[in-house]
Amino acid sequence: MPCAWNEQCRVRKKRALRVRGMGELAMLRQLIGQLQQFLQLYGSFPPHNTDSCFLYFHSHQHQQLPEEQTHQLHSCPHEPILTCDELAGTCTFVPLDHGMVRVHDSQSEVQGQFPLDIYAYPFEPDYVFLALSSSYRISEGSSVFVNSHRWCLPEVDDGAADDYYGFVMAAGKSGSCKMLEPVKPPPSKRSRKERNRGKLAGSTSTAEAMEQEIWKEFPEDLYEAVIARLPIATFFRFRSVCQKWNSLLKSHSFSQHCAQVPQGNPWFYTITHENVNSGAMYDPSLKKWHHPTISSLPTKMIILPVASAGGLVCFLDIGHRNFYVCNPLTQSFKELPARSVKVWSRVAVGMTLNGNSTSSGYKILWVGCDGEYEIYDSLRNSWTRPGSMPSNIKLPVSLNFRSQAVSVDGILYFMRSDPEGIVSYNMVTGVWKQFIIPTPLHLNDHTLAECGGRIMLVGLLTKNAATCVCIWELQKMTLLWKEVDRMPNIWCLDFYGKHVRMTCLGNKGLLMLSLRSRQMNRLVTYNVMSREWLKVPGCVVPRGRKRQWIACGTAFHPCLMATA
Amino acid sequence: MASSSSSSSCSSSSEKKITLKSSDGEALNVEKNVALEFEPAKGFLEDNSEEADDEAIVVPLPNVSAAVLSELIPYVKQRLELSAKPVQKKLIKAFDDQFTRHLSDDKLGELMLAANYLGVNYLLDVLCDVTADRIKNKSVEYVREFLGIQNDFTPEEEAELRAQCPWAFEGVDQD
Repeated sequence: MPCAWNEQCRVRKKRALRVRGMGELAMLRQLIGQLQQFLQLYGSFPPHNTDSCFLYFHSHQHQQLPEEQTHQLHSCPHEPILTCDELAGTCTFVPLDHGMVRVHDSQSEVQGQFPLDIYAYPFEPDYVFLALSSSYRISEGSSVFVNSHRWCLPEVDDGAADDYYGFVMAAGKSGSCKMLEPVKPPPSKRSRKERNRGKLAGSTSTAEAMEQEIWKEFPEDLYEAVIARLPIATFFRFRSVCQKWNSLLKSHSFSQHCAQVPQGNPWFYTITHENVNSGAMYDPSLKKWHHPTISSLPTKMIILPVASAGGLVCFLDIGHRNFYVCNPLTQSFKELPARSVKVWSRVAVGMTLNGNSTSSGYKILWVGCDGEYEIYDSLRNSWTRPGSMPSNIKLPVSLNFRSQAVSVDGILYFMRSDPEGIVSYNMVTGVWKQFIIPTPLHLNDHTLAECGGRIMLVGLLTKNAATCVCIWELQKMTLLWKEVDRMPNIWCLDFYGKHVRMTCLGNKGLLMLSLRSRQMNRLVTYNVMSREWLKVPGCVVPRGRKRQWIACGTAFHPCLMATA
Repeated sequence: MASSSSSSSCSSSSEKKITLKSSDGEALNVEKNVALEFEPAKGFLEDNSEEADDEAIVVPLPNVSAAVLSELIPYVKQRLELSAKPVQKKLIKAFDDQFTRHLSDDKLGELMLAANYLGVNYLLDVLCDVTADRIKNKSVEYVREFLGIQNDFTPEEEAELRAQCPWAFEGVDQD
């Protein structure tokens, strides 16, 4: 038998929130280890069937999850539930050839053979989940939370498999909650009136009156000139200054005026571990985190931001089924029609605009490792399948899912391995191309980025014990990566001797990078144009204390006019 | 064009003085090239170009006070000198920063009105930036008071607007 994974593996099911005791842990570890071997053996994506169900293994939380969070995790449709305390039966997984697994659940007496797949929570070292691609559901509720902070998985060394499956584990993380530095809640604000009452008591009221008079007689276009210079986040606050400002900020002419102002830094829409269903937006111009609630986004499943264009963010649920498009600033929202596939394997996603703004429509492309791809056109509100990849592109396309697509002038670029390089798709002409570009040596966690038409690569360069974030630019003539910048040495020193993982949370001119090692979680931005490295303040929810851990994100250009 | 002739004759015209008359009736002598930076003065001088003696011309500027003019004139003069040299933008920005840093809020408003009326667009740009910068992290109440705006919302309307995007009201500076 070619399959070395031919041993029964038992996972006891409990109906509580935690797996207790080392026995279960050992079993889990064994199961995961075997899955890894399985992966190495097969090396490619196992075939899929119809519905998937997932078993979550969550190593992050060593305490019982608060009720609402478990609820969120549990209520993902088709995402099963192998849970916790009230364990009644025994579920047996038997690996078979060709990526199948035989499952026997003694509780529900369900038995059958299903394709098996392994996923990680995208870009995230702390979650691993196994997906049983089948219509089989073990029983209701299916998260296994592992409560040991010592739980650790050996890393898959093979780079391709690592990227491909995103199968990474943080080694021996000690309870994450402890690592979070308590941050003081923001000071409560006092109105200026209140404070000035004392201060101005002595000053003449005429000075104040004069000041008001001056600004009162201001011509409207001067107000507009000032308002147009405000960061976009403040528009939402200053709408409530007075009726005039409100109607001005909502007016079409003002929106057009703003659209003409050259695009500054992008914002970043991210989701955090602590609350996967509400976003955290980082505004680099104010160096501030905003916490919008997008009421129309489904809360029953985990939805990840995967791409953006023209102020709209494209979301894909964790089961890779449904796409959503949303303007996180205005709540303009749309669920895209269902895709015409029967297989919900992992896909890379890119998004482009037809014109200069979303008013002339946008397109979304997904592409899978088997070379299948489909394009959504917002003007027709439907998916089309323009054809298949040309034969010069080697299949399967080992897409690097850690790297979000970049778009330059209507062309989408995806990073691939085996052979290392880039595949591009021209959304206008419909032409696929492949560029073989050798990846620099000693490189990890690399992702594509874009800045003013230049194609960049950002990654972790590790030599001996030293780790450094490096930036390369693609030399379009020679098809080679040329190093153009490195993170300041003094910051790199913090990571000396540590195992570091990097996630890129947005790649449009300004990059946001999350750097994590056992004890640290650093967020930095890098401006490709000005070559400026900046630290990002911790993301703390209003009135919250705990610094949030950013799981994944995408960069978008804030735009009030963009409608889904 | 008047602007090109003014720049070519810069050195010679810089000696020539023009008299500007402010809204409060004060007369201020300025170099001709400075006066040409002010749109109303430029128009006036073009209309009266037959006059042989520039010294005799008095340009009325009925919307600007002498106090504001006397702040504007040195700024425009230095700014002209700066932009005549091949200096970096950074230097000009530093100069603008220095000029605006110590302006009080109401002086800022006066200068903006004057710059708008006189058509000194580069100054207007800078002042708009400064104003936006001063209010961008502030609360709605602060902005109302800063700009002397009456709140014409009912409490219900205001609460509704706030409820639409609570995130925008989080983390503003203390007033």
